[in-house]
Amino acid sequence: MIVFARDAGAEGWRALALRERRGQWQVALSATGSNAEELAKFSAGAAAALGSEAASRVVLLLRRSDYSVLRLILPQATGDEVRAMLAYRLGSMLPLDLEDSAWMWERAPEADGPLAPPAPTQVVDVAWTSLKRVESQVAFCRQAGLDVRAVLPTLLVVRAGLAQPEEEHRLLLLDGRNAEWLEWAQSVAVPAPDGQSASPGMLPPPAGRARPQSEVAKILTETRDEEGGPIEVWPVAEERLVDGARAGHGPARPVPWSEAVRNAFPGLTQAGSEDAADLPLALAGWRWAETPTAGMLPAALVSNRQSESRQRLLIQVAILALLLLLLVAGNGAVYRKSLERQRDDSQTQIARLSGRAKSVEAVRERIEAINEQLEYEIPPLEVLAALQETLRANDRELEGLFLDSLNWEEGGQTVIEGHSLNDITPWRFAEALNAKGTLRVVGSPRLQFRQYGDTRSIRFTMTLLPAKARSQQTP
Amino acid sequence: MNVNKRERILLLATVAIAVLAGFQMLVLRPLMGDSKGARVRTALSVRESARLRAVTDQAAAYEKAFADIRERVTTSDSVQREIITMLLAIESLAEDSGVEILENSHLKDESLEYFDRHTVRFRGAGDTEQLTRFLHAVQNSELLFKIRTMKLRMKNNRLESELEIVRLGIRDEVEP
Repeated sequence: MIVFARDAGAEGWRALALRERRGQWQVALSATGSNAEELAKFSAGAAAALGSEAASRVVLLLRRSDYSVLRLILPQATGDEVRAMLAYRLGSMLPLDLEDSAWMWERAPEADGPLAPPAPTQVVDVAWTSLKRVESQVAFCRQAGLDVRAVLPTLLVVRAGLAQPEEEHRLLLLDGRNAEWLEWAQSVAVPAPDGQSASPGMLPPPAGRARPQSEVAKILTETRDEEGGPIEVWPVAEERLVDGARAGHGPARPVPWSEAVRNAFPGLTQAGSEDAADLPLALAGWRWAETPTAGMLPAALVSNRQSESRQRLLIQVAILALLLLLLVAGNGAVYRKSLERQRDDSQTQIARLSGRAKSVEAVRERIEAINEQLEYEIPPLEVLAALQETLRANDRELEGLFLDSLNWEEGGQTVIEGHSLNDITPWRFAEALNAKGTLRVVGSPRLQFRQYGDTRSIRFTMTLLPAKARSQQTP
Repeated sequence: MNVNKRERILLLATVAIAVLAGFQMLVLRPLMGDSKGARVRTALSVRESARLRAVTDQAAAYEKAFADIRERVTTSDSVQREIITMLLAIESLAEDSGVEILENSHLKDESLEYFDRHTVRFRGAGDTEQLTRFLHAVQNSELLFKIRTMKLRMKNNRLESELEIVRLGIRDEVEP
C-alpha cells in the first residue's frame, strides 16, 4: 500500500489552497490546535523540505480555539516542489478548486468571527489493482456524494463534508471489492461520540482519534466478501516511507516518491517489471517522478491521463478500422451493383440486337460460302501465265526444255511434266519458278532418263503450289 | 473475473483478429468473389453486346454484297435451264476465243448448304494464245463460272485442254 508520509509535526494539518503571487508560492493551511510549538514544527519541516528555511514565512490568518488557518510563503520553491512537499508532508492533495478562494489569503477581521472554517479534506487511500478502474471508482464516489479532487494510480483523494476536519481515515480497498469501499469505510470508522450514525453516502464523522492502522487492517481482515471469502489486506507501510523522523534518526527529510515506493515494496525495482507484477498491489503502469521536485501528483496524473489517452486512441483506431472495413464493404457492394447494372444494360442490348445480328450473320455466312466457291487459291490463268513468263524470261538458260502437260486443281496444286535435253535445265527451271514468286516448287524436280539411240531424253515432273496463301476476302 | 493488462491486451487482440477474420470470411471474401463473378459476367455481356453492335452496323454492307452476288449467281427456273444456259455460254466463250470445242457436256449437279453447284466438262484445242483468251473469258464471266480442274496437253503442236467448269445457283428457299 502506498501512502503519503506524514510529517511528525504536522499532525492534523491540511492544505487548503495554493497560489503564486509575484513569483512566490503561497499555501493556505489549516491546522488543528493553535499552539506555537506546532506551528514552529511545521514551519521548520516545510522549510527543511524545500531547503529554504531562511526564506520561509508563516502568516497566521485565523486562529480559533481548536484550529487555525495560516499562510505559508515559500519564496524560493517552485509549484511542483510545493505540491510535492504538501503531498509528502501532509499526506493530502490540494483541493484545487479552492485555489482562487480569496478568503483564505486574507487575515480574518475577527479572530473568532463567523467565518466558516474551510471544508475539511478527507483523505482516503485506495489501492487499485487496476488503474482502469479509477474512473469508475471516481464516478462511484461522486455518485455517493463525495467530491473527488484528484486521482492517483494508487491514491484516491476525496473530500467529504465532515463536520469536523481533524480526523482522517485511510481506507484500504482491495481488488474486486472496490465497489464496496463506502460500506467498508463506514464499518471501519469510529462512531461519533453522540452515537449518531454516519449519514448515507458520507464518511461518518470521526470522534476522538482515528483508529490505528493495525486496527483498520484487522477489521478489514475479518471482513468477509459476498461469497464468504476473506478480503485480502496488505499492511500500510507508512513507517517505511518516512525516513528519519519516525525511525528516530533526526528530522524528517523528503523522500523521493520512487524511493518511498521502493521502501514500501522492497521487491519493486522498476514499474511494470516482473517484480512489480508480483506485488500485492498491482503497480503495473505506475510511473513516478524520479525527483520529488517533479511532483508526484503531476506524474501520476500524467500517467493516468496517458493511459486514458492510449485507451481512447485504441478505441478511435478500432472505430476507424471498422469504418474503413465498412467503407471497403460498401464500396464493394456499390461496385458490384454498378457491374450488375452494366450487365443488365448489355443484356438488354443483346436481346435487342441478337435477332438482327443473327440475320446479318446468316447473310455473311452465305457470302463467305459463295466466295469460298468462287475464289481461287491461284487461278489457272495465273499459273499458265507464270509458266510462260518464266520460260520467256530465261529462254537461254532453259533452252531445250519443253512442257508437255499441266494438271491444275482447284486447291491450287499444279503438276507439270516436260522434257529437256540435259539434266541441269529442269533444276534451272525450278529455280527460276521459285525466284519469280508466284509459284513454288514442292520438293525437287523428279527426273527420268531415257536413251533413244545416241539421243538421251530427260523427262521431268514438278509439283507446284501457290507461293502465297490466298487472303480471306470479305465485303 | 480479474484480468491483468497483458491478458486484457491479448484478449483484445484475439477479439480484433477474430472480428477481422470473420469480416474477411463472411463479408469481404464473398463480396470479392461475387464481384469477380459479376465482373466476368459483365465483361462477357459487354463484349457480346459490342460484337452484335459491330455485326449489325455492317448489316447494310453485307446485304448490298449479297444482293450483288445474288444478281449474278441467280437460280433459274429449273436445273435443265441452268445447264442449258451454262453450255451455251461456254460454247460462246470458246468460239469467241477461237478454241476448237471437242466436248461441252453436263457432268454433274451437287446440292450444297446454301446453293446448288452445276458442273460442265469442256474439252477444246487451240494454241496457247487462244486458250489463254478462253480461260480469261471463263474466269471473268458474268455468270461467275469457276474452273475446278484444268488439264493441258500438247498434242500435234496443239494445246488440248480439259476443264471442269462449275456455276453456283442460289436456291429460293434459303433466301435470307
